[in-house]
Formats: sequence, C-alpha cells, structure tokens
Amino acid sequence: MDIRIKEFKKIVTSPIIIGLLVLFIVYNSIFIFQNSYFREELRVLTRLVDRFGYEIDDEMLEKYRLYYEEQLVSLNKITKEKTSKNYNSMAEFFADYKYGLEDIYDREELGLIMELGIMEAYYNTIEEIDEVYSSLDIMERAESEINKFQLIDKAAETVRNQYKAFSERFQQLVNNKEHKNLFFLGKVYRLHSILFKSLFKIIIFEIIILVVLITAYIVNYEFDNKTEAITYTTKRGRDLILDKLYVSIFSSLVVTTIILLATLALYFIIFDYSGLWKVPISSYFNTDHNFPYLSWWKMSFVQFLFFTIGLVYSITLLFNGIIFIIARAIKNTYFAFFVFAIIFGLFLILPRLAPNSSNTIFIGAFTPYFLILNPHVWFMEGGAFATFKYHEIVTLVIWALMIWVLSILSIKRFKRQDI
Amino acid sequence: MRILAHELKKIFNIKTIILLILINIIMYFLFTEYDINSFTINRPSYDIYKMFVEMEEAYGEFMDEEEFQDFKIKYEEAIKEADAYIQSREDFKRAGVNNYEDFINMDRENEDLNQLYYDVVFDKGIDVFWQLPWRKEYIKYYENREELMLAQAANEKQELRVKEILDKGLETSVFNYAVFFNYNSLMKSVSTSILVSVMFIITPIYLRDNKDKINYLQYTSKIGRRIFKKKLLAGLLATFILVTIQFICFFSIYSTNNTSMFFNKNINSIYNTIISWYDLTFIHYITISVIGTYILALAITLISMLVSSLGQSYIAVIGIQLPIGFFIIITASRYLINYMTSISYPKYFLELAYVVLILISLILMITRWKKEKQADILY
Repeated sequence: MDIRIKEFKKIVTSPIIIGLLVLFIVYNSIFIFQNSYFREELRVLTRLVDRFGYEIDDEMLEKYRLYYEEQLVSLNKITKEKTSKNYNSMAEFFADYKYGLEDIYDREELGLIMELGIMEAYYNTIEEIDEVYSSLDIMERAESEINKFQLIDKAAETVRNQYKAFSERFQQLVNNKEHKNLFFLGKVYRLHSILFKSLFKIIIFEIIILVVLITAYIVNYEFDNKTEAITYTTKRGRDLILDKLYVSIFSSLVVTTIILLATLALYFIIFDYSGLWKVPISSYFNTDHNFPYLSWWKMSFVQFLFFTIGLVYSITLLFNGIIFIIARAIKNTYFAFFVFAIIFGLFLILPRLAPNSSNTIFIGAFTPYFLILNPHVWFMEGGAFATFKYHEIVTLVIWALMIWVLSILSIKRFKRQDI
Repeated sequence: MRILAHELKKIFNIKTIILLILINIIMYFLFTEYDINSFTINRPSYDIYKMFVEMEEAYGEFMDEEEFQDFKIKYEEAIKEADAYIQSREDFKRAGVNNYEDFINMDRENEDLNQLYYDVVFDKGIDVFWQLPWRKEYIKYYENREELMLAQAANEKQELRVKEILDKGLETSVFNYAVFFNYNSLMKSVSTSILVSVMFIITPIYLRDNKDKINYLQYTSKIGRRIFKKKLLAGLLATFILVTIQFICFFSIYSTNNTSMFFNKNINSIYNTIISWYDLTFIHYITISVIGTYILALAITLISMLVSSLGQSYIAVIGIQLPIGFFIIITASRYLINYMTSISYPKYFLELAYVVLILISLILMITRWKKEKQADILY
C-alpha cells in the first residue's frame, strides 16, 4: 500500500499537474461568467414554477393565464397614469417602445415589465407546443440526415431503421407528455448547449489532457529519471507497473472529480435550477436549435446530468487505459503524448474513408473519440450516426473490453521485456 | 558548422520526421482540406469566382463606367439565357411561368412551384440561375459603391481611408470576396499547422540534452557554453527550413485553386469584404501573410526554446507549452493572421503586435542566455 501512496505523491507534488488543474478551473469559470448575463431573467421562471408547478395541463394553463392577465391589468394602471395608453399584450407594449423605457418608468416598474414580457414569451411557447409536435415527423428527420451525409443503400437503410425504432419512443414521449413541461426557454438562453455542448466538451478535453499527462508521467517516471535499473530489479520488481496503473486510475478519477465539482458547482450557483431538477430533459422548452432534444428514455434533468457525469467518468477510464498502453509501449513521454494526439486525429479522419453505401461507415461512430465530440446528444436522438438506442453503452463495453485485453497483454509483455 | 549540422540532425531525427508528417496529414484533413475543395465545389462561391474570371478577362484590373455598361448588358444576356431555359421546359409552361421575371416572383409557398424551384436551382444546379442574383446584386453594388464603402467606416480615421480609396478609384477593382475569404480561412488553418509543427520539433531541443545530463559534458568541453547559442541557431534554422517546406507544400496545393489571375488586383474592392489601410494587391496580401507566419513561427520557436531550457521533464514542458501554444494560436488566427491590415483594427495594430511579439521573445531568450552563461550547472 505504502508504495502506491508514494506513487500518488509524485503526482500531487508535480507543480505542472496542479498548475494546469487551477488554470483549467479558472478558464471554466471565465467561460461560465461570460455566459451569465441573463441569470437574473431566469428567476422569473423559477418564481412561476413555484406558483404553478412545471407540468403543463389545462388547469395550470388557466391559472397561468389568469395570473398573467392580473399582472397585465396592474401594468395597464401604470401605463395609463404615465402615458395614458392601454395594452392587450406585451408584444403590443414593446412595439410601442423600442428605446427609452428607462426614461419613463422607474426601477420597480421596469422589473414588472421585464417579468411580464418573459411570462408572455413562455405563454406563447406553451400555446405553440401542440402545433409543433403534431407536425414533427421523425422519419422526415431521418431523410434529412441521410441527405446531409449523402448516405445510400445499406447505410441509409440503417439510419431509417434507427429512426423507425425512435419514432415509437417519440410516440411514447408525447403520450407521457414529457414535452409539456416548463423549463428555461432554450431558444433564448440556450442553456442546454452552454452546459452540455460547450462546457462539458471543454471539461472532457481538460480531463483528457490531465489524464494523459498523469498517466504518461507516472508510467514512464522510472525511465525519465533513469531509476528503472533500480526499481525494476527489486523484489517487488516489475509488479510495480500494476501499482502504477492503479495509481494512475485513482489520480484520473481524482482530477475528474475536482474539475467536475468545481465547474458544475459554480455553474449551478450562477444558474439557479431550483424547482426544475425533475423536469424531463425532453421538454419542448429545452429546444435550442430547430429540432427538440428527444431522449431515448424518460429522464429528468437531474438524471440526465448524472448519466452524463457517469459517462464522463467512464470515458476518463477508457482514455486512461489507452494512454497507459501507449505510454507503456513508447518510453519517451514526449512522443507518447503526440502519438496519443495522432491516434485521436486518425480516429476522426479515417471513418471518412468508409463508403457511404455500407454499414462500415457507422464503425467510426462507436469510438470514445466520436463520443466526446457530442456530449449534448448523449442518450438522445443525435443525427445519422448517434441515434442507435444503446450507442453509448455499446461503445463503452466494446472499448472497455478491448482496452482491458490490451492492457493485460501489455503488462505481460512488460514483465518479460528487456529494459 | 559541424556542431550546427549535428544539432540539426538531432532535431530532424527519423522518429520526429515520421510523427511530423503524420501530424501534418491529420491537420490537413481535419482543418485545411475542406477549404481547398469547397472553393471549387460550393455554391455560390464557385459561381462568383467564374463570373469574376470572365470579368477579369474582359475588363482587366478595374471596371470603369464603360465596362460597367457592358456588365449590365451581360446581365440582360444572362436573363435571356434563363428565359430560354424556362421556355424550353414544359412543366414551367404548365405552371404559368414564362420567363425569369415570373420565376423569381414565383409563389414559393406553393408546393409544386417550390418543387420546380428546387429542381432548377439545387437538383440540376443550372449555372445561370446561380449567377443571376449575384450579377444583379453586384450591379447594385457598383452603382451605390460610394455609399456602401463609406458605410463600412466606423470612425473618422477609417472614413478618411475610405475616401482615399474612393479618390483613387480602387473600389472598382475586379476582385471578389470568394477568393479572398477562401484564402483567409486557408491561411488560418495552415498557420495553425505550421505553429504546431514548429512547437513539436523545437520543444525538446535543450531538454533532450539537459535530461540526459549531456550538457555537463558539453559545457566542460572546449566549446563550452557557447553551445547554447549554437543550439539556438540550429533551432531557428530548423524552423526556417520547416516553415519553408510547409509553405511550398501548401502553395503547390493552393495553386490548384487557380487564383493567379487575381494576383495583381487590388483587395480594397467593393466586391471584397476587407478594407485595408494600404493599397495592397492580392499577391501583396499573400506575401504579408506569409511573412506574418514566419514571424509567428520565429516567436514561437524562441518561446519554446525558453521553456525547453527551463523545463525539467517532458511532462512539465508539455504542461507549460499547452496553454502557451493554445493562447498564441488562438490569438494568431483571430487577430494576427485574420484579415491582416483591415481597417477594423487600429492603423498600426498589426505592425505593433508583431514587433512586440518579436521583442518579447528575443528579450526573454537573451536574458536566458545571459543567465545560462553564469549559471552553476551543479546547483
């Protein structure tokens, strides 16, 4: 045990790893603050959900409407006093005032105006849900994806089959009314993209850089410091490589936890999700591009978040294994780092060579390298290459097995290798 | 000289070269390839390009009023060609579309008409239908060129510059944004590949010897600490060779884009998206961007060597180089290589930025050399 603690110490006392960790967290914080200019507006929805709940049904809608009209009356009182005008909706109101609201109304009144404007935006979105979902055709989406990547024959057939399976799930989703739940308006705030597309992608890349450095550092430590002739000839000898593997896994998990904890804690302090944790992730309000996010399973936001975090941990372990095998084979840490980067690049460009008519084109999608590029559509409908129901799990299992076998072979070879 | 050759051999060892080639191939396919191919395939950039090639042949460097009248006639001829095409098709006749005028005013909400529109423009991709909107647009551009140019000036200095361009009549230059934009985005990805490659070969330069304690031998030999300078020279030379080779490769690929007829055309054209502080032609701009990349490569070489001479292990050096490289490459592709000499930057921004970059890296390296001359290598 003691030897593992000593190995772990090598990492903790390395100023570079600590320095990078701090730098990354600072970078993430800057990223979050840059996107936080609308955080005050989010409170409006939090208050609405406190009052009405997030599930949209007729009763709730009625209450919502009454409350909205009540507020509109109180606004009209103010406007009558100041400008002697009456308004039927906020759209009308804003059409009158493009600029200069601040000159007429005081702070409190401006707050009411903003709140009413946002309330109306949510109300309008609720009204359009049924229309949007009745015209949403999953198979049409499949065809447009097929066109986008110019797939033909078998490949196109596979995509169609995926989407056929998905349209069943879509029916279920609509029957469950998963889409009819209040959530932060995606078209305006794009919070799903900010959190799961940008922030998680940044986090994953940072974790990979740290994992690569840690693992390569610890595995090749003896060779870098010319102590291999001592350490590997002792009684413990070459079993040390196993200890190094365990310590690198442990350290990778530690840095992953630190980065995730620091970043997500700051994110959820800045953006207040209280009352909305259990809203299904497939809510129509979450949509931030032209197609809604539709999950394969009924998942609440917090479940989705935890599944994503879980997948990040699993991918960390995969990359840990990959870099362990590379660093074990290439003793020069510098080259090991670049070989890792090159393999990464190859896995991104080689799938392009696959013919667009056969199913081999989908092999490229089942790699961790592909997975980390699209964290915002994990467990969801995700375009031509990522709509397989068990896409993430299959990738994980296949790669975990492969890396496990290769690691064992690598360790076995190391034990008999000429140093 | 012999030492220099040996140092160069150490930099360009076989493993490094193999990895270097792989890195460049991957970066080419990930970032550069798209722009090389897109230019001749994507629409409307290809249509605009073809139109300008035609204009270049007919009008030469600038388009004067007389030639503009000819350009208008060409527009009318193109409309006639489109008319003829529309009239040759039965389905248009049935839909009540008899000429190009009807075609653009077609009710696209109507499913059948929309289908026809898609068939002509996207499925069949008839050239003239792609060209016509741009011809029309560019006639408008030419007619309103003074207003359009002045509208791009945000402050007095920029306005003065725009007026200067208008006085000289440079805005009528036969040069277009399709070529320029394409070159600009290519240059960004190429300079990124170059900087990454330079960092890759230069970073181990001192570290390799320090780590193996070879510097103890070197510093006590006859040549002594002057070897530090020799390595520096070898590094700079290696960068120069590498960047030159990469540029040769890039420009031989770029030559397949066939833009040489625009080389002597002024870039401050109304059809372009840049207004420069200087009266540059396209070949001048290319030269400036190449020189800029050389300077960036030089600066990154010096910084990498500094990190290399200070670092204790490869991991430490990679850890330091990652944020530095990331920062320099992002800054370069956003400000230093992107739309160089544009009036959206302050007038002497570019010159100053490059001078400051060179000065900082030089001063850092000189101080490092002064310290190294007296450093106690055994602590």
